[in-house]
Parts: sequence; structure tokens; C-alpha cells
Amino acid sequence: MPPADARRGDTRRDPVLLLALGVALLVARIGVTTWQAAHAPAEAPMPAARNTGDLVPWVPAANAEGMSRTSGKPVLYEFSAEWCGPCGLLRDQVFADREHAAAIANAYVPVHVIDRAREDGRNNALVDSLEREFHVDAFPTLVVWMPATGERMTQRGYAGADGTVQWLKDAGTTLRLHAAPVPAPGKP
Amino acid sequence: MNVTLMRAFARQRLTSPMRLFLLAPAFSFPLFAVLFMTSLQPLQSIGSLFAMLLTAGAIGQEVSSGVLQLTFARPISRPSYVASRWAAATLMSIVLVIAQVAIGFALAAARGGAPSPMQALVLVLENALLAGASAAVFVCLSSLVNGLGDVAILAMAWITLQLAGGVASLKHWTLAARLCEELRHTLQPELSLMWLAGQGTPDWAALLTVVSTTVLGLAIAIVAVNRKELTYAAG
Repeated sequence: MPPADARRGDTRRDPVLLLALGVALLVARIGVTTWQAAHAPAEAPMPAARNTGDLVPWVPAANAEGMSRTSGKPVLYEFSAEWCGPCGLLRDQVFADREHAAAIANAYVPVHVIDRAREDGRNNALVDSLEREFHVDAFPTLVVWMPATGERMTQRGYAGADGTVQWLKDAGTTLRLHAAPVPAPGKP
Repeated sequence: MNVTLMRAFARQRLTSPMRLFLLAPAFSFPLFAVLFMTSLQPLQSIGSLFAMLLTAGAIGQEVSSGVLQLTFARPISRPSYVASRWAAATLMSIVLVIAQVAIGFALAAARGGAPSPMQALVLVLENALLAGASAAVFVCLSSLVNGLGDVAILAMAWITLQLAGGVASLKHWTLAARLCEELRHTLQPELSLMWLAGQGTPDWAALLTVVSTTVLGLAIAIVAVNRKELTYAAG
């Protein structure tokens, strides 16, 4: 059996101070949350491109769907975050490589989406909606999406340069094949 | 706080086959993810999961099994009993988090993607605070219902809040959507302290959510246990 508590007296004392502290913290939380909501950062436009050696010609997310429908190329979303180590590897080993960057630009409408939830406490509405739409819960995540058919393919995490490049090739080919019009019978 | 009660709780939890069966994948699976992703990202919020597995039924099961009546036959203060359960669960969760982050750090380093030691320390601190808050939520719910009813309450509340929040968002009921989100964060706190490692700005609302949830959860649990009338004839 456990030993008796050293301090004798009422064994059912209500934690008045703890309750008061809890209520005070709750009030502070409501106040801060309300203040933060009222002073939310302005919706900064997402950068279309980024520096540090990245050679992919990223396009603004808002233009991607229209460009994809015009060009027939699928959209490639790259979801990443500043603090994410593997995202840096992906950038250095794939996006900063001249050949891979050219292949991406040729096959896709590339869009770079950066998550700022950790840094700023929240993302802007566009990033939020894209992450919800494509069920992004890890970084980096690559999503290849064909707006014309709604078909999409997703790769979570960084699978190394070779694995990523191969996946990009396969995903692009698959989605373009599915989107291609079926020739009428008897026609070449 | 009563060290003997803490030790007894830790022994009870760590000799429960079902809990060990659930803890094993919770500990190892995220490490596989670390190996694959070369990042400590899968270890975010893992402290909450450990606390949940270790704290579920912390008081309710004692009431159901009749052990609480025997424990309180000794002059042990009820606040001390509740605080000991919470502290033991939180400490065990923190030990698991430290071990997991250390292994994860080594795995990520071996694959060339290790974060800075400061980031790993911040991750441990985040998980420690989340473990404390989640343990307080479960101790609180467990003081209100017998057996493992706390798990059922949490699951039902979470599903209800998700659905209500979704409907509120669709209908553009901003206040209702916000309320659902805040309640969900109370039951399942989220926190990022990466600003301590020089990334981003502090999110004071999230920090206050975690601290207030911990303090209020414990206070409500103590009040609830203080009001429990336990007799041998209670069945």
C-alpha cells in the first residue's frame, strides 16, 4: 500500500488556486487567439520561384490550372517547408540540376508551395486550400495533377534523386496517356 | 505528489500486455518513417500519442476494479493521487520521446539528413509539453467516467467536432468553425516551438492552449475525484 501523505488534514481539498490559474490562462488564451485573428498577417502571394540554385521555372499557383488546360501538361505541385531537411535535398539534387529542371519544365506546369504553419502559426488561404485538396500531411510531397481529368498521383517524402526523377517521368506519362483522346474506330 | 503512487502507476502501465502491444508500434513505426523521409518530422506530436496510450483509463479503471476504494482507505489526499497519476504518465511519455528522438536523430544523421541538435531539443520540448497536456486531458476524462470510457468520450467528441467544424466551414459560420477548432485543439493540443531554434515567430495562442489545457484538465480531475463517493457496496 502506498504510504500516507506527510501532510495531514483534509484529503479532499479543492485546488482553488489551480482552478483560478486555469481560468486565467483560458481567458488569456481566448484574448490572444482573438487578437491574433484580428491581426492576422496579410495574405502574401506565394513566390512563383525561389533562389538558392533552383533552376525550375515555377509558376504562381493561381495561374497553374489555366496554364495546364492550355498546354495539356499536368501540374506538378511541390509542397515543402523551410525547416524540412529532405526538401533541401530535393531542391539541391533535383531542382538545381540543369537536366532535371529542364525535363520538369518541359513536362509539367510546376508550382512550388511553401508551408509556413510552423513559422507563422498559420498558412495563407491558398496554401491551406491546396494542402487540404491534396491531403498533404508531410514534406516534401509531390503531387502531379491533371485538371482536365481530375486524376492525380502523389509521392510523399523524398525518395532520392533517381527515385524522384523516375517517379516524375512515370507520373507525367501516365496522366498524359489517360488524358489523351481515344481515337475513333477506323482512324489512325 | 506521491512517489510511491507514481512508481506503482508506472509499474502497472509497463506490465500491461495490451499497452505494450500498442506502445511498440507507436515507438517503432515513426522511426521507420524517419528512415524513409530522412527527417524527424514523423516524430512531431508523438508525445500526445504516448501520453494517450499510457494515461487512458488512469482513474476510471481503478474505480471499475475497486482498487481506488482500497487506495483511499489510506490517508492519501485525492489531489495528490490525481497529480501522481498525471506526473507518472507524463514522465514516462517524456522518457519514450527522448529515446525515440535520439534514435531518430541517429537514423537521420546516418542518411545524411540530420537536423541541428537544437531542432531535436526543441522537438523533445514540444513533445514533453504535448504529453503533459494530453495526459491532463485523459486524467480529466478518466475522472468523469469508469473503465476506458475516457477513450470513447474523446473519440466521440473528436468526430463530432470534426463534423460540426466541417459543416460550419461549408456554411461560412466563422464563429462556430472557430469554436470547433479551439475545442478540438483543447482535446488534442498542437504546438510548434521551432521559433526557439530561430525559425518563425512564437505562436503564443498555441502555447497558452497547451498550458491552460494542462492546468484546467488537472484541476477538473481533482475536483471530480474529490466528489467521488466510494463505498465497498457500490458494485
